[in-house]
Amino acid sequence: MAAAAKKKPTWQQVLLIAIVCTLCIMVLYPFWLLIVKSFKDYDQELESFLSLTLPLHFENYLVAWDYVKGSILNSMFVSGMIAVTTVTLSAMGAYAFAMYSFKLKNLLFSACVSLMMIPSILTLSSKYILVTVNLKLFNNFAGVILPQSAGLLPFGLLLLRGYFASIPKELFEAADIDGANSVYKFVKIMIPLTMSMLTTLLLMNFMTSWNDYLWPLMVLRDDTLFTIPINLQSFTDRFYHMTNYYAPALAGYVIVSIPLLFLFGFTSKQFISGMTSGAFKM
Amino acid sequence: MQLKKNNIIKPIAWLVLPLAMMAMFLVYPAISAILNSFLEWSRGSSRFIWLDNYKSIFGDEIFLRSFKNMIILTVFGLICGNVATLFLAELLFNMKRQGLSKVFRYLFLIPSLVPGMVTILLWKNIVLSGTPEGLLNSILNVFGVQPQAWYFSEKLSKFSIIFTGFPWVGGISFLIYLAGLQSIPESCYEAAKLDGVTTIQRIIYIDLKLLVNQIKYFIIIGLIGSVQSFDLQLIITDGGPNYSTIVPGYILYLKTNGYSDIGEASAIGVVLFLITLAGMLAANRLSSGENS
Repeated sequence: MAAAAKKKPTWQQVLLIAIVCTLCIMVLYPFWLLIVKSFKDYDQELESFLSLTLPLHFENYLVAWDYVKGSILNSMFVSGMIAVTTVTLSAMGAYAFAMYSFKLKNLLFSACVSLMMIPSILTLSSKYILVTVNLKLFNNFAGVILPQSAGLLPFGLLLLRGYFASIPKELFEAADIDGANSVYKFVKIMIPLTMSMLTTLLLMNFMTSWNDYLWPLMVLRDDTLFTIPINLQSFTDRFYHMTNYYAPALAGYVIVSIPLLFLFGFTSKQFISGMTSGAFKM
Repeated sequence: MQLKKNNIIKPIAWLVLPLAMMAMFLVYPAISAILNSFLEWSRGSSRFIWLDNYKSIFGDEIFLRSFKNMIILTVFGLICGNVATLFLAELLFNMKRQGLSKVFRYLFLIPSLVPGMVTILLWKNIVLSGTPEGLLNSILNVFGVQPQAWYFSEKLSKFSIIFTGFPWVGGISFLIYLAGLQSIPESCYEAAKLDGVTTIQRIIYIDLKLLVNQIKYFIIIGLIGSVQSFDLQLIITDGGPNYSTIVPGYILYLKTNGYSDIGEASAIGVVLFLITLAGMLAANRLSSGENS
């Protein structure tokens, strides 16, 4: 970094900061607009559709809350289960690959990782038949959680194996002398030492499945089971048809965005340092 | 640490659950999809029909059209996305004020924390809304341009899909480029400084060369992603107007939902798989050529 921070004419830095600020505003402006518009009533929307208007109509949020609260719980359950399942299983697999040597290990590992290269579109129709016809999990959370977790596993294995292998072996040898078994070493040594990477992976998986739209749409039918993305779309359409304006739907968008921002607030330091640390160097 | 032969049991015990999951939900569906593409599939009994599914999709004019659309959307999507995120990573990397650079890292992450559906609906209903009150229509109105229908205009629908997410930098990919830039050894930069290399020259001759693995990664991931993506078709355009945004993935979805034609859907899946495979091999070939 120091090399980049050498003495340069400051106008270059000023220009650079100006460009970044512009980009930042362009990226964030639609979200600002979302918040502004979510507080409008019908007349305010008609009069000034792009600027902040007073008074703020908080009742939009009450209307929206009734529509979205169920789907937030559904999404939390589904995404939480997917993230925990994936991280647990990837950690177990990565532990085997990092700590033991056995025949065909590297071949097996390459095979697992290469599963990442199978586009999910190839398996969409056959996975749909497997889940809905063969396993009879149509309209069932398990039909969302199981295949989605499996899909995230190869990346988890790739990420964690490298990280686990970088933990000094002496720590485990010391535990061996004390007669610790492998479960003990996994839970008491490996997990605590790799917590930041596990958290990063957990958050990444949670975000991925939180955003997932297509698969839950295909598998879930009852609107009591709808996850946030499916619910949002039907809510928007229904509300717009009823009232011809969007504000309460937009309030719903704001509400459903809060949980992840909140979660990120707690884990962002680890997340950013995890993302920019060695594990992602290629 | 590395163990005696008889310890094969232990790694297997650790691996059995993850492997079983992947076998069931990744390997089996992949094989089954390839088999299904040769079948006239039905719930009860399926019939083997050789390549008839492939013949019928390639005889379908709408499928051919969807193919062309997919190529256009993929090429533009890959270029816009990668150039923009690399640009942002370079900007943040070259920012002298480290504290400010860190703050921007957080700000640019915000869009990826908002559910993707919210972003898409935001673009549909506010930014590229076809009404005169839409954001882009309001901006263009200042310059005297008539309101456009964007997603719902045959002329502009493809442009609108590519334009969605402009300036294409929100997300986590810029962090990976940034990580790559930070991992470039300082000796490289010091040597360049001694040679009197300008920042622009440094970016072209040092940074891009040393980021080749990251670029390859994003091209492969982006290729896989955009060949199979049809979110905007599903949520906004329904492949229209007049098939101007239809893509193979969306046709596959329509044929899968309700089991209306699993055989042809699988054939489309296989074709898309082969395309991504070819793309990956080409990207590999290209970058290994550059490395030498």
